[in-house]
Amino acid sequence: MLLKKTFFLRCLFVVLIALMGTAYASVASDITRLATTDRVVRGTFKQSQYLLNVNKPFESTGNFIFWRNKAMLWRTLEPIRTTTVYNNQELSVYLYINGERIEQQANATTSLINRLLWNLMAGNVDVLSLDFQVLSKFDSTGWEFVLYPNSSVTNLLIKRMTVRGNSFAEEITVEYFSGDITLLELENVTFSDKSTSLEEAELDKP
Amino acid sequence: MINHKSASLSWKVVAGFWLLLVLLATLFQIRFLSVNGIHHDLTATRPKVVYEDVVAQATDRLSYLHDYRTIFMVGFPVSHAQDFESYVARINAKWSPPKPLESIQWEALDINDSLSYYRSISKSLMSMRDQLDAVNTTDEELLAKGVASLTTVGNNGYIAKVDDPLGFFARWVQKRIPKSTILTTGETLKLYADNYVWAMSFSQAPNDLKGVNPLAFIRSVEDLREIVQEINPEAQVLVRGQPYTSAVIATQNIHDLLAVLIILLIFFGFLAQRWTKSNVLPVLMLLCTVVGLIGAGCASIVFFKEFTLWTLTLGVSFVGICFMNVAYVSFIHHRHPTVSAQKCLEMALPVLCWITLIECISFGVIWFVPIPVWQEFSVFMISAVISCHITLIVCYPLSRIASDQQSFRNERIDHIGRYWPRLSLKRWQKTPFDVLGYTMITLFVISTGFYLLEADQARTQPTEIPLSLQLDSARVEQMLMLPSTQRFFMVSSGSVQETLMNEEALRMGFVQRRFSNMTTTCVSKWLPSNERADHVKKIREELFYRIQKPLNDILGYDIKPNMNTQPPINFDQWYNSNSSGPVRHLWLGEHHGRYSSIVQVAGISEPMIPQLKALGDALSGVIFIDTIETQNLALNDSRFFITGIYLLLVVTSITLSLFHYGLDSWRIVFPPLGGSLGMIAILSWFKIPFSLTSAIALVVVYGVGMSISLAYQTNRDYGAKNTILLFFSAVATLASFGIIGLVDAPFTKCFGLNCTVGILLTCCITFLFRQATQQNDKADWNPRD
Repeated sequence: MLLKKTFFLRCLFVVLIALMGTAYASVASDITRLATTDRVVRGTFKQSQYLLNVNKPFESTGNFIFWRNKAMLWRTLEPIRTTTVYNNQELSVYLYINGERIEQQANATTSLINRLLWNLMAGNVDVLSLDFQVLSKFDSTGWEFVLYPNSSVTNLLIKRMTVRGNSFAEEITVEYFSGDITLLELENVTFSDKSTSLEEAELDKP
Repeated sequence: MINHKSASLSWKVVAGFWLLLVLLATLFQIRFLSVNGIHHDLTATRPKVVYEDVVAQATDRLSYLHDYRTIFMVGFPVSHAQDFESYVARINAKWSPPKPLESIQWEALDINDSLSYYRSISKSLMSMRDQLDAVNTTDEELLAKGVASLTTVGNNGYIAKVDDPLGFFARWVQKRIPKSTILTTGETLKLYADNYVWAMSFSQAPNDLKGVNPLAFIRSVEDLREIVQEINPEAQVLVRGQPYTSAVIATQNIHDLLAVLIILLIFFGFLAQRWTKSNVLPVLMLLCTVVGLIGAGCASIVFFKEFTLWTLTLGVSFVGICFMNVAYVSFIHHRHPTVSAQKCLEMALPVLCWITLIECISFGVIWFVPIPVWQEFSVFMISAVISCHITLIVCYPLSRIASDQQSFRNERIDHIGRYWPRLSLKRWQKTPFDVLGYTMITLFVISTGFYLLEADQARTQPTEIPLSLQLDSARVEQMLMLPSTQRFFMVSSGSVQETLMNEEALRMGFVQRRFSNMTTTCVSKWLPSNERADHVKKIREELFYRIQKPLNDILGYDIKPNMNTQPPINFDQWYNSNSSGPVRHLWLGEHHGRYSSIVQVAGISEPMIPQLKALGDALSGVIFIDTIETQNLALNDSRFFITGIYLLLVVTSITLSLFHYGLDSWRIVFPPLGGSLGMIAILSWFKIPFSLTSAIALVVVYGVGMSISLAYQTNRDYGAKNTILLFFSAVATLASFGIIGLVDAPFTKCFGLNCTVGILLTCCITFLFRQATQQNDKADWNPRD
């Protein structure tokens, strides 16, 4: 009897996973509808950090430029000017505090949020299934999918990520294992086939 | 006078008993091999080094990982990463690691579980780099660390930001979790690297690779490649580990060995057929060879509880020696065609015993080489020679070889004596400048060879590992940043805390000396000493107070120092928990009142080794263990020891020879001496260093060369026909030693090449200094004629 029950639950689980996969596939194909000429993605963002035991969120705003398969330039303008450049290999942060420019290096590949942003903008959403179980919702106002870490290392970092959007990802919520929450809102997203020389110069010398 | 009828009967009984023993030995060997398989572990080719207690424990723990762990990696292009899990499921459905390798289960490994302890002591943790930099960090830089995670994108938070506002704990964890590796349940791990997403599984082979069938192993890997190619043609398969390397080389060796045995069978069949008109003698030669090999195999099993493939390959050289010994008895019979086989054996026996003794001594010396393969080879060859000798003694009188069948088919071989120069006093008197000229040239070649000799190279690679294997292995090491298991630090002191502090001092040395390409793996990297933990707490508080006000101003609210009480660090509690899992094997515990641990290093390059040694010397309680260097030193010592024994053998043989043969003894001793020394000189012209294998070859060439020389010189009164014995002995031994030089197995190339050159030179010199006979006196060949 117990065996039959277990078998039934397993079958149900398989069916659910299959359904989720189908739904996810439709979302993925929808949000990755980028033209091959859309090599550069630009936009503005507002990031709100909800920290544990702190009542007031910390907000920062700025803009970003993404070169497909090349690099991401993330510029925070308020309240502290900060430029983040990252690619597959490394992540560099340049902060401007008290008139001084301070550089910090980190390993880009270990940041799940960076990987999420990168793949969202590059249209490689399918790759996210490596790290997450994806649950999706699709309605007239747009789509939403929730990503749950599917391994102990990703679970070490975050509890859950939620991405909402319509024609493109508009809102990303990251709930950390620690209890802190980051809300990232992307606005004014535009696509073009090339970047300006000024932008490229900034990428070279952030 | 022996009563031949009764003697024949007793011989038959003895022979029957001997053959019964051989039959039992054969059954025993078949049974053993069918149960245990043939031993093909490459660790048998490494020298046995005796370390002190704790170092031995450390090397055992690490060599267990080095020698018997195999990593299977299948990589799919990142563009196909969405199908990764289905690919892995398909592979797992069709393929499993070869038996008896056991997969290492990762199911129980939960990073959060093991990290929970560190979260609870987070205030005491800080990376060494941060701790060092903290002293020189400006307030602006500190503030930047605090602000960065709030204003930038993509920072990881392992604990609440307010508990770790400067991100010290986050950076500490970052360096300890697997780089870009995602653990899955079960046996498969995932890794992003080189634009591929890799599925990895780890397997552990049994000690000594017992029960591992190399052919099945290789077939299994080929199956995996085929399956992966079917799934995704762009996928790659990498296999890394000593068991796989052993299997690849063993498989190649088995194929080579089969080819060698077929060639030898044909060649020696032809040689025996050219040697005699008798049909019985080739059968006797085959019987002696087979019985010799069976006896040798049994001795190996009895002495070593295993039968090694590499020993069998080296042991192929026995076939030539066996042929030479049987041919010698046959030659004596040819000299005395009227006597019976038994009488002939009686005549040949003294010299045959000397030959056997010399061969056994020369192979016995190899026992002193501290490498299992050579020791087994020593026992193998001694047993083979003795078994062959006994079979020859027991069976020859029963062979009923008629004297007319003893006549040679190649009577004309003796004519080569006419075209081969002979050095003699008479010749020197006749053409002094010619002889002087040739001597000068020879001396120049020999002396230059010794001058060019690379004597400082103690160890040549025991076997050539295929380039593709080396590249795959290096790629896996680079991707996984695997720590070295052969070069590491050992830290010890009188208490647990002091040992941890010594480890920390060592790690500090790495940071201070800017060994940026290397990383350490050790206990203190996960659990700091109490002293350092207190120091870190203070540093972190001080640093926080330095930037508290400006950080609060930027945030617009107050972040207060982390006042949560954290439990004190307890080593035993940590050691017995899941948290110590990644480094538990590096803690060696207490021995004679001292606590020891291992500090592994990843990314060691050869030029950095002196600096690592210097670092170990500079710190108390720390030593750098370089097992490769220790093995090289052991081999170097062994090389000189064997060379010393060689010199002792030369002196002893000259003395004994003087007693037996008087002043003529130089004709017996000089050819093998010249041949063995000439071998070293000539091979040095071809950049072949004087390695341990060369030293072993010195002894073997001397022993085998002396046997040939003795057989030749003791029959010198037989005239030019003696040339035939020398010629066939030379061809047989050269063929058997030469052919193992072509086999791709440990040591065989170097050993075979050395012995072939040495024996060739010995035979040439023997012939060059042959005694005058009626024929060659008449045709005392002059190159100018």
